[in-house]
Amino acid sequence: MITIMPCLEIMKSVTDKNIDSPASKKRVESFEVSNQLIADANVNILIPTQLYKCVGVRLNDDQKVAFESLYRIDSSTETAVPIYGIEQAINLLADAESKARFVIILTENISTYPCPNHGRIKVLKPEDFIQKVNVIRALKKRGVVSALDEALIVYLFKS
Amino acid sequence: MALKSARIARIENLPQEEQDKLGKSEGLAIIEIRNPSPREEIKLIGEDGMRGYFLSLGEFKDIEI
Repeated sequence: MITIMPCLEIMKSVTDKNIDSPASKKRVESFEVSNQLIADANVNILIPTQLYKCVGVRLNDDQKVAFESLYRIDSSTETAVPIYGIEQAINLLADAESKARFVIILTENISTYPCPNHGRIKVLKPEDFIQKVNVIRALKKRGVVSALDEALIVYLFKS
Repeated sequence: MALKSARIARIENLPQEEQDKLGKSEGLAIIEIRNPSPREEIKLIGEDGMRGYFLSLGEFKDIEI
């Protein structure tokens, strides 16, 4: 029920040779938290082809296969003219995706992704996303909530 | 053996015999299918998480993006 869309700076940190800065570590951690949610709830990670191609230059063949298996790579916004950049692609895909599922855009640049007021898209910084998921996981551990994805939707989108 | 697909799973959800083979009963794992002569391999996700898994498949190329 939830789709997570990590933006370029997140995926760049994930595939950087070295992750030294605290901000980079938070970006990578937010990606790890997203992956844990894939295993634990009705959550998937959606990546537009434009972003995948950008990050894909750093990947070998096996890494590409893993990437393409684990995440949804969407080529629907890729056209010759007009050329859709990564940010435009994320905005358009997020809007379309939000008609079917709740969407979390993970980014350091919140203003790049204007949030429509229908309440089904949330734009979060990595540290905020991690903190919110930790709150829900703690509630689940205590038995206060049962389904992780449903609790996340209530906490993130309806409160 | 080329990697053909990968899935992320909770070890808790794997059959008991798989958990026994892995020597772990909780955490994350990647279920891989490799070819030729297709076969399944299960890899544990350690402290380095998914980034660590990707790195287990090879170094990231040092290309500025």
